Order: sequence, then structure tokens, then C-alpha cells
Amino acid sequence: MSSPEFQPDSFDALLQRLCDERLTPDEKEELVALLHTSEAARRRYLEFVQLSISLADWSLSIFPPPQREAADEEPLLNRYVHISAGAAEAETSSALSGGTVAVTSRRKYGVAVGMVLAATLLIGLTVAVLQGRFDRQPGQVADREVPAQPVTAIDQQMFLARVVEVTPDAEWNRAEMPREFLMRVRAGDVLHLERGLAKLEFYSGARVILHGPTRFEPTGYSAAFLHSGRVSGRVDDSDFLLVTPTAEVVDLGTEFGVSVGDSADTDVLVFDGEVNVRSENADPRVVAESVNLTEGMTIRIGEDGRVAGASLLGIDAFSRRFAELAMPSGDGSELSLVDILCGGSGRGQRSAAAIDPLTGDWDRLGWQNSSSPGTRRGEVVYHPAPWHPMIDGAFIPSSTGQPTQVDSLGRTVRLPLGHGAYTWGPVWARRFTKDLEVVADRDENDFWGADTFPVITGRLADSRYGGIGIHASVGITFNLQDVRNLHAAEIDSFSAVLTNLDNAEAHNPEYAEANVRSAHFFVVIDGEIRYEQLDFRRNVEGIEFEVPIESGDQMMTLISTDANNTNKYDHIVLIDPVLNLQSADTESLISRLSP
Amino acid sequence: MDSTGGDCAAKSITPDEFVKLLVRCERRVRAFVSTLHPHSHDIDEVVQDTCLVAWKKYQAFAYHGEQPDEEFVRWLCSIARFELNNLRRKRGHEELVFDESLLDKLATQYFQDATHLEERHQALMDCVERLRPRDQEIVKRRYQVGISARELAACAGRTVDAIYKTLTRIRGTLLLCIEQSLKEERVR
Repeated sequence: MSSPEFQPDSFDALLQRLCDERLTPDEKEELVALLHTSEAARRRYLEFVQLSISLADWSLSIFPPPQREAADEEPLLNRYVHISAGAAEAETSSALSGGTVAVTSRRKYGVAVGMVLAATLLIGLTVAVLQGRFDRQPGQVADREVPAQPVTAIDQQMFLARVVEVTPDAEWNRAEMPREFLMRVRAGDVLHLERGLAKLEFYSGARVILHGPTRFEPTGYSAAFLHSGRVSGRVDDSDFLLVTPTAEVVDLGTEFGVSVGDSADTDVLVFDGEVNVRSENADPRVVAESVNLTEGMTIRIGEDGRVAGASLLGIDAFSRRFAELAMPSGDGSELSLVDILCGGSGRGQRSAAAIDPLTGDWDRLGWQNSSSPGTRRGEVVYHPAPWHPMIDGAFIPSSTGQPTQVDSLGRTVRLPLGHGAYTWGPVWARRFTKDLEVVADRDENDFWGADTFPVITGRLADSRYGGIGIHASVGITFNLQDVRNLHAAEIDSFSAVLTNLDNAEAHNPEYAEANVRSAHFFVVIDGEIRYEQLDFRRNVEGIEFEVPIESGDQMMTLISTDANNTNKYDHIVLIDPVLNLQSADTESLISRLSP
Repeated sequence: MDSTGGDCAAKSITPDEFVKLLVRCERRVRAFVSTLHPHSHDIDEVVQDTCLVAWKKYQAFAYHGEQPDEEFVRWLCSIARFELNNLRRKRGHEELVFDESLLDKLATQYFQDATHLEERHQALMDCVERLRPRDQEIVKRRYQVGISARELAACAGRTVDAIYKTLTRIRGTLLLCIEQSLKEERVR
């Protein structure tokens, strides 16, 4: 056999397949031959090895590794010491007892293990058998069970997507509807929309519009199962997998519509980009077909899993855009911070969202689980949220009176002494919807603990735009300049109703009687406290307040702290928080917004 | 123990220094072993055996440069090569076989490119931070937890092909970024 010639592109493709454990015997032979004969091939091979080792190194340095058995935690170096004997061991033990070395050893042990695992990617390994795929009997098409996907314990607790908003005529099936207070859904949560439209956003970035009647089930970070009905989807930056009883649709960064009919046949239409469709049938006599569709193309997969030609549905069967629903009241001079926090413009009716103050990202953790048991302890670090249109960031403030950074421009504020740098749950925003009444009696929704759920739902029912929950101690910052830019308008003021919705009287009457619970609340503009309510105790009706905003003000921060008496029962909720816009004629507007 | 100056003066290391050097250099030794050995479920064993042997013999190690790191890595790698040979003798036929001649070539290439590979590692640490969060998540799952593409596909509810495409894209992006970073470094 003549020696293969080194071609950089094809050699890279070979190494990519090596990384994915997909080399055929011929390819392995080709790889070995090239490594023998070409220095360039050896160099490139080493670069790929280095890439894998370095990625493992990075992964373990950034993210804590999964829980290990106690024996596995023993630092690698300690094992050497234990094996050795004598004075050298004693010396090394004392060296290892120094905190820096011990910590480094532990991290490097983790890195070592990780790199072992990473290195396994470069060579042929036994490939794990894929569990739980479609094992339907021949002839079974309808009512197909969604295969159980093996997920880690943490994954099961994390939310995959959230319902962003619904049309006014939307109706959920009471047995299969978003049950979580903030309308977030996990793998396996079936959403049955009986009528209307509902917009769902996956945290991976994919957006899906459910067209009632539809039964839809998120199954993974960027994956779902469509039991029946119609959905349109848009995926910009990554792949999305949508599975139906008879087909598998991989969206390769595009916009598409999929419909599953009463007889489980699947229609796929591509509005933009590219989609791969693979027919599914457990009958071994039916060969699975795979086809790539581009813009304007359609396909129907019959109930028998065979391609049945073009779809009979037209583009007009799908809603591709979910126009922002206008605010229910007001003259357009108010911007709802509830809508803004939920990712809207401030003039919409987005339903719910949550920001994790420990990351500045969407909060995807369950309220109470092994990794997030309510309390979130902070390190007094400001977490920017550059991904959000109008939120600057979030943080947990210092309880020691030290300066706390309150915006991404580095401004700080000193707050009164507190009991601890921790909060309860995320910063959340929720608008009252009729569904809230349906889930009101479910125990799992006592997310804020202490029987606050009925108090919160009752108070939200008595609001126009909803509320933002900021349980002590936490802060969230809005970028006022981003607001001005989006709306081409000046901001006059910020107003809200400050409430403390604790329910200690029902939850712990003795504690309530001791009357020690209270919180502080601050509105900080560009690092300056412009409004405060200290020692704010239970007040469901709330206090209305308004904070003027100057044209040069850039950042507005809302902070709650525990008033130095623990953060028990510090359930601060801002009802109807709005930014009030100045009305302006065009000329004065242009002059104000000019640099 | 102290350097007496001069070009040929050899310096030895204390147990403390050995421990710190090992922590600093283990990644490179592991990369060296990964390069040469086709079955990396053995890599942990080879590296551990290497470290044990090195610990027993550390008093025999001496370096001449200002810092011991480079010479320490070469010393460890020579031990690792020996331990690898022992293992291959024990294990016999393996799936992806690198014969002795190829191992020599790869080992030589590894040390020839040591500085270059280290520069690439540093550039990668910056490049990976620029990945989109969802791509970082995939990297984390694949490389920290070490699950296969099939398991990753099962966990994510995606096809294996889609995962392969994504991983290929991510690696391609990182490799391009590394090249770009190194070019910019050379221009400065």
C-alpha cells in the first residue's frame, strides 16, 4: 500500500473523527501511516491532543466536578506520601498541610482525572449503548411513549425552557399545563395547549410557538417531543431536535413549522435555513429515510413512517411571529419593569422570569433541590448580564458595611450592616394570569417558603402589571440608558408599590408576635441612594413611592437587605414597578438624546 | 542545594519543590502519555506509576537551568516512556497500535514542539472563554464529565449526528481562534 499523502483539511477531518471515537479500521491505518511519514501530521496530531487535554483542564478549573465518593477525593499527592515512609513523608505531609498546596493538589487531582477522561476521547473506546430510544413494536404508531432520556440528578432539577407569553384566548389543559410559579418547564413536563398561542423559549435560545390544540414536551436542553398539534420554531445559533411519532427533525439554525396530525403523520415546512428530517419506524422492513430541506421545501412523513411527498399544509397554517401584546392599561407612558425583566420592551405582557443573582443569568434551578435549597449565599460579586436587553446585572450585597459594587461601571454603595450575604431564591418577576389561580393550591408552589404563595398570588391579582420579588438580601440593576435608546424617550421617574408579603402570622405565629422581622429597601441611582425604607415590616397593601430620574442617570439598582435580623420573612415584592416616560415633542427629544 | 553559579552547576530539589513541580507539570506529562498511548483508560495508571517512580527517585533529579520545569518534564516523560513500555509488554495487542519507531517519532516531536504547544494551551484558555455559553456547556459535559457523544446526545435529547456536528464546529472554532491569537502575538 502506498503511503497516503498529508492533506491538512482531510487530516483534520480524520482527527475530528478520532476525537469522536469514529475511526474506521481503514482510517486508523491511514492515521498511523501519516503519523509515521509526515512531520506535519505528527505536529497536528499533538495539537489535537493538546486541545483535548486543555479543554479538560479548563472544564475542571471553571466548573466544580460532580460529587465523588469520599475515597476518590483523596489528593493524588497524598497517596504518594502514604506509600512512602520515613522523614521524607513527614516533610511532604507538612508541605501538603499548607493550604495552598493542598488546594492546588486537589484541583490538579480533579484535572488529572478529567484529563484521563478527556484523553479517552482521542482513542477508540467502547461506545456506550444508547438507552431508551424508540423501541416501538411494528404497527404501533400513535400514542408513542417518549423514551426516557438518561439525565443526571442535577439535570432533572434544572428547567429547560419557560413560557414567555400567551395570547388572551389561550387555554391550557388543567392536567398538563405549566405548573411552576414562573412558568418554567423541565424535561418530561407535557404542555397541552387547548387553544390560542403560547410562546416558549428554551434556555438554549430556541423559540417555539405552540398552536393550540397541541401537546408538546421539552426533552432536553435543545430538544422536544411533539405529541400532537402544530408548532413553529426559530433557532438562530445552534441545533434543535424535534421528535414526533414518525419523524425526527433536526433544525440546523433556521425557522420551521411542524405538524402532527390525528393519525400521527408529520408535516415539516422550512421557512428559512436548513432542516434535516429523518423518518422513524420500528418496523425493520421500513428503511429510515433522511432528507435535508431548505427554504420553501416541505415534506410529509406518513403514519407508517414512510415519506409521503410534500406537505399539504401551507405556510399560512403557522404563526411565525408572536407580536408583543400591548399592556392592558396606561397610555404608553409607562414601561413595566416586570415585562422588562422578562425580556420584553416594557410595553408588553410577558408573564414570568427569574434572574439568578449568583450568575446574572436566567435562573434555571429549582426552588428547592439538592443544589439550591432556597438559600443562595453570595460572595459580594457583581454579576453583569450583557445578554439581557435592559438589565445590567445582579448581586448579593455585602452585610459588613463594605462597599458593594452595584453596576457594571464599577460604582459602589455602602449599605447598613446586615446579618448575612445571602438571599432566598432568585430575583423573579410575575404578572398575574388566570392560570395562577389554578396552581394556587399546589404545595410545590410554596417556592418562597413560609406559606407566602397565597399572599403573593392574592396581591398580584390586585395589580396592573405584576410584581418583582427581591427577597433580602439581593440587588438587581437596570440600565436606564438602554431603556432610553430602545424607546427614544427620556425617563421621568421610577414608581412602584413597596410591599412585604411575609406570612409569618400563619406560618410561625410566635415569631410573628415577637415582631423582629423586617427588611431594608433601597433605590440606588448611579451609586447614590435616592430612596430608602428602613425596617420595613409586613405590609401587603404597600407603600407607594416615586423616585425622580435625571437625564444623566445611567443605572438604577433595587436592593433589599435583611435589616440585620436574619432574612427570615423578608419577602419584599415591588408591585407595579414602572418607569414613567416623559412625553416630548420631537425637537426637544432630539436635543436631549443628542451626544 | 543552592546554586553555586556557573553553567554546569547542577541543582537538586527538595520534597516541597518536587510536589510543587509535579502539580505544575503533570498536565504536560499526561499530554505526553496521551500522545503515545492508544488506550487512555491506562493513562491514569501510567501517570500514577510515573509519579511514584519519580517520587522514589527525586533525589537523583538535577537541573541546570534557572528554573527546573522543562528539565523536570523531560525527566518525568522519560520515566513515563519506560512505564508505558512496561504496560504495553503486559497488555500485548491493542486496538490502535503505535510501534516503537512511531513512539520515538511522536516523543521527539512532542519535545520539539513543547514551547509551541504550551503557547497554544495559553491561547486556548482565552479562546474557550469566548465561546457561547451553550457551547461551553457542551465542552464541559464532554470534557469534564467525559461522557461519550452518544451519552451526550441521550442526555440532551438530540441525535448523535447533531452532537458530532456541534463538537466538530466547536473544535474548529477553537482551533481557528488559537491560530489567530498566535498570529496576533507574533505581530506584537
